[in-house]
Amino acid sequence: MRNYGITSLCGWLLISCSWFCLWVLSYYFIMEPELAILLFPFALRLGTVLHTPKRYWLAVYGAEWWLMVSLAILLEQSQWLSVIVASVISVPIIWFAQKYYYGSQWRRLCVMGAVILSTALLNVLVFSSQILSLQMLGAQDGTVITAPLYSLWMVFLVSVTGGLMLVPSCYLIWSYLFQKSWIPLTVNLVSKPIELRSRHVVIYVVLFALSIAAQVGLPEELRRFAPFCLAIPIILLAFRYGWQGALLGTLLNSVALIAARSGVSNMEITDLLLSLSAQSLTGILLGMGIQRQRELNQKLRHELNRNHNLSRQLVKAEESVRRDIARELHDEIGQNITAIRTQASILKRVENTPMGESCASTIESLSLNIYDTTKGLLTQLRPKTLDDLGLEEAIHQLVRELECEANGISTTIIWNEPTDVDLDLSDATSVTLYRICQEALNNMVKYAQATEARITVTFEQDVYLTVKDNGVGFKPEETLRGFGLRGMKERVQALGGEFTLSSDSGTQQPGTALHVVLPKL
Amino acid sequence: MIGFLKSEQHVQPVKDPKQIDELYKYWRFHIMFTMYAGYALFYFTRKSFNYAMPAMIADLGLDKSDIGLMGTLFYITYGVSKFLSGIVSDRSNPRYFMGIGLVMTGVVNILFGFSSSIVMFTLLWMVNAWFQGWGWPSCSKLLTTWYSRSERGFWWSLWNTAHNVGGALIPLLVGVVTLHYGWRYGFIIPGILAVIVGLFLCWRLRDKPVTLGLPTVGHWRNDTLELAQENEGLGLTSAEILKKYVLNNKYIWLLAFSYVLVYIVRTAINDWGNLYLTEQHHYSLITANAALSLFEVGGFVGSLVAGWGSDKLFDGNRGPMNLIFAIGIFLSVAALWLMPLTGFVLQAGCFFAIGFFVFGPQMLIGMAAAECSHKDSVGAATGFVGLFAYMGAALAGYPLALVMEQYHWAGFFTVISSAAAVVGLLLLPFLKAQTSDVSATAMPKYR
Repeated sequence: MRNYGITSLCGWLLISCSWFCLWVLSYYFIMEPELAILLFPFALRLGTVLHTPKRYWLAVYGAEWWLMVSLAILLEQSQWLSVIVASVISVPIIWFAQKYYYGSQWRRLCVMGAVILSTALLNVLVFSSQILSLQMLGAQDGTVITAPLYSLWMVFLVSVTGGLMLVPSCYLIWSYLFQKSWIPLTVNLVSKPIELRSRHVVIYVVLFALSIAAQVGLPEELRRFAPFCLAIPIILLAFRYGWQGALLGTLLNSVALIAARSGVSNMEITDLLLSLSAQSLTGILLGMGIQRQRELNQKLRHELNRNHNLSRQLVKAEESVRRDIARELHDEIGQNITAIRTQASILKRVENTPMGESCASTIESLSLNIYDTTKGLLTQLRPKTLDDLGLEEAIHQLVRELECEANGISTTIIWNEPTDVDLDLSDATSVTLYRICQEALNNMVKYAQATEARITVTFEQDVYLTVKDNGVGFKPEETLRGFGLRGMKERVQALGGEFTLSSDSGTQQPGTALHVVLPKL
Repeated sequence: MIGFLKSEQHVQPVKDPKQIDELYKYWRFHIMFTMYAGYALFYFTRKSFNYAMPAMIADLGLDKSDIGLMGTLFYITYGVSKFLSGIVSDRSNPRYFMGIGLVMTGVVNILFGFSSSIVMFTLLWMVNAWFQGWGWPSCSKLLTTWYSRSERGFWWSLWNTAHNVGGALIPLLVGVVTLHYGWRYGFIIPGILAVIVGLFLCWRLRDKPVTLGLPTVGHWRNDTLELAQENEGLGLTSAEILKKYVLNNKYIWLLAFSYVLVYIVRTAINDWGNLYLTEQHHYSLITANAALSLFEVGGFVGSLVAGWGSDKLFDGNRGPMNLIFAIGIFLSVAALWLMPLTGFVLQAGCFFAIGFFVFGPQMLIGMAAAECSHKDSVGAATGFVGLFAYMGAALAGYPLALVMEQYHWAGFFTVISSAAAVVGLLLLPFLKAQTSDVSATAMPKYR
């Protein structure tokens, strides 16, 4: 209970001081003490109450009522009945709204909007009833109405403008200061680097100064241009920080607008209020839109990344399954077949009957068949040379196996391997590189009629593979028609690399070039 | 260092928990009371000149520029002394350090009352500034060793109101004394009071709890944060501590710079406020000073609210409360500037609000400096930010006067409201460093 009392007292003091300062500022704007209450002070109260537990409402409302009554006495005005009534009636509205005030910030923003609008309408209602009663009194007495009568439109405008500027700001303060868990300020801070984004701060300060200068200093001929200048900081901040940034931009703009304000006539005040609320609304909506888009983008990027990872996993899984099967085939079936063949040849020697001998030779030739088939399968499944010799030697071996030199193609292999770092290629990458070389050389030997070929492999951040020949090339539309290269392309993309195949046919220097970039993984 | 100024050697620890509780409770109350009286008296001997000045000008025909120079020299000497004595006080016994400082300022004030030449005045006033700097580091050392982290906001803010009480009483005292007995007594009487209270301090203050055989306050209150700070950087030499936790501590630098700006606002309002009211709103000097005294009253309330809020709302974190008050400074300064009416209550309300919001950061920044530094460099850290604070105060003197000559009151208010806005900006890195990436759940706490 004592705690509650102290909290309420401190809250009451804090709210009273801010309320009073804001009232002075709004009074400076509107030059109408009662109407000024509707601008910032009411918005401050609305924003605070919306974010405070109900048991502390008494402190907030207490500060407001106390100040309203004493200001009215101080300024020797007749009691400001309408504002006090409006303030009291707002209690159930906010009470009701707070029930729905939870969840995502979109939801909260919607509730804020609804509350601002409904309290503004309420204020209009209260003021119109006051005017009505005054008129009735005036009609009875036959006297002229002397009480200040504001146009209802002005009441509405003032309430909405204040709400749009302050209520979201209250939300920002609340969510940044009160909803975060704070790491206590301790000596450990010494080791934490300071994150003062001085560049950003300087940029925004300059922007702010420019925007004030534009509002104040533009010559009369360029007056029409000034409002557009307001949009620049809003757009910039909205783009960078979403709706919260845009709100900050609109607050800075408001300072600029206020600094540039020229007169105190009714027309000019309306103009100022309209531009304030219009730019606040634009800023918040624009920022919300941008933020929404950005969130969607983020989601999309996330999904794409996931997709990518999955396909990479797939390639890896495939490669490991292949390797396992190849090992089994080689170790088990290969050895067994050799054993069968040996047994068959022993049988052939010891068997005297022609029937047995022919059976034995059939077995031998059949097992030889199986051996050949298995060997073919093995190379398809898993290039054995790669495991035995390593990637560089395996590619040399490939060139020898395909008999390039015999087909009249002189082949150069350029191998740029960094000497200082350990080359650590993943299995999937080296197998893919090997297969691409295999496929490309195969095609070259079969179709290209080339005389020269060059294979370049460079290891940097990524792995770059280029296979080039001076053959006849092919038409662009035939690119990737072959099943082999298309498969390679899909595989490279799944691993997160790039695959480009270019070909010139019919030009002076024909040839085919294949560029592949693969991450090392 | 003279022998008895040295921090006392550890004595036989008290074992009985009941006795520990009793000793702690007794001394915490008495040390707070003694410090409060002592610091308020420091204000007596510090501000006596400001309020006796009009009579001195009339009596001796002093020049305004000489007085301005004296003020600037005072602020600079005071700031430097705060820092240097902060370093020394970390290794000495605050009981005698603060007590002797107060006695010396009293003596200087008495001598001041007997002299008549401007050279003497300037010299004495600089010596006074030197001893004035002995108060604050000792107090910050006592406040960090006798009160623990989770309650310090309240105790520190309570102590901080000594500023306002001293600042509010001295114009009355000096005014009455000067009116009845002449300006010389306006120095001698506060001086005698300071000597008496200084001796009282030497009698009633105590060193750290450990020197009384008590456990540290972190152990006594079982405050984990306090214990963490007590155990940080054990076994470093004092030069290393000073270098690592004060001079190379970027956060102390940030605090120091925002303190400069807070003090620009505070000193500007304090020193120029009555001129603004008389020139712009045509107040008489008496009503202007009365409105200005509301600044101190607001400060009294504001520092209590800020200290309490940082303890209760933010669990001993000064950063968020600082930011709220920085926004408040901006709003209240703008309100005073743009106030379209003239009315005593309205202007006084503005001064109250400015005082309310300025004295929050004025206290919290000093406290944050003590808390993000080492336990054995508290005096140096607070002295360091204090040095910067008084550079800000010096900036609010002559340089601000130049601005006013050029751009009048609009320039004055532009400067102080931009200073207020930048205070908030400089505190942002603290919020960044102090928030974890995982924000609390989106559901409001009160549901």
